[in-house]
Amino acid sequence: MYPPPLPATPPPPPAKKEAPKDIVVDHKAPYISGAKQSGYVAASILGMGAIAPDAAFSSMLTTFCLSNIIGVQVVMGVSHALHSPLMAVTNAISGTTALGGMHLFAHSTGPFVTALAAVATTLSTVNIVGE
Amino acid sequence: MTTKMLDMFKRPDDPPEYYHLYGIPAGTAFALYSVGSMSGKFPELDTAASTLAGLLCIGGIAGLASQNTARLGAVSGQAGVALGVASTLGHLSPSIGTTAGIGALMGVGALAGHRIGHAVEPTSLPQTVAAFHSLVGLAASAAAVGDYLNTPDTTQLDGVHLASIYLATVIGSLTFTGSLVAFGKLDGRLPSAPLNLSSRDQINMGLGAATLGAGTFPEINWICKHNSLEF
Repeated sequence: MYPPPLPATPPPPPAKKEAPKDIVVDHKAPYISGAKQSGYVAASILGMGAIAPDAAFSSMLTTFCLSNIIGVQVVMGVSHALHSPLMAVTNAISGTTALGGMHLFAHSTGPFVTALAAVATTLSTVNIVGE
Repeated sequence: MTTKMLDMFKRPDDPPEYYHLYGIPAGTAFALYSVGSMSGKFPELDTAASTLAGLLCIGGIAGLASQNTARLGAVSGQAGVALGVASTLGHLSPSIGTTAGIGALMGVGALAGHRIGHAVEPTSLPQTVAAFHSLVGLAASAAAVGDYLNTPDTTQLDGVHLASIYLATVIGSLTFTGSLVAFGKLDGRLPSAPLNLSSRDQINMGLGAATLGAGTFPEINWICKHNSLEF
């Protein structure tokens, strides 16, 4: 007989079956952590209101919190290709520091302060026009 | 430069765009604001104009979240910043000399920005943005330091003003140096691996403590003055 028969190989051992592990889903955990975070945020904002010295501080706190929310919402979900133009536009908008420089220039009381204000205004305008 | 970057996304079969038509409402808003501000009969017009400028800027950032509103967002951002500058000038109502000075400074800055923005290649746009951002950090801290030096009696500043000066100085300087490092790394001038000094934790903690400590000097001065203590 040609070819010779192959020697009998033992059958392959059966694959070891592990008992499927039970995935424990803690349904309560996200609610507890969410409730804790909301509590911290509420307490901190009310705390800022408690230590506020005057109305200007409260209105600035309102502006700050609302602009935080707006910023997060507006920038979330920007596609990757638009990251660089978005950086350029936010850079141009951050040229608003020119307003602080102009204010300082108009109200300055000394040459050094005028120089600082000039630096601030010029560099911020470079940003506004360059982007 | 934003429009330069957005032009890279233009396809040959895109429909024609008429964004210059947005110049009509923008120009009208400017004209109305200028006339109203110079007449002096509308005291709250400056605040409304700055609110409009803020809305335009936020709309500009929001427009850049998707491709088909991206160019509109760029236009809106430009209009917002321009209106913001105009409303601040209207609010300040500076004298002729100051106006000329501000105009000259902004003209120099605009010329420099225009030249650099034009000369940059599309492939080196991110590092140019980082370099520009360092300038704005320097401008913010310069304005804050100038504001502090400008007050005749710094103990009369209230806590909010002091805190904002401190934060502007710290964040502005941090932005300045950090953006310069970002520019160097993006441009390939600095190695992109992080600088792993062995005592970096102690150095960072020491610098952080020094920054916080330096901020307490004006506060201590204020507290001593208001409690009639002499140092």
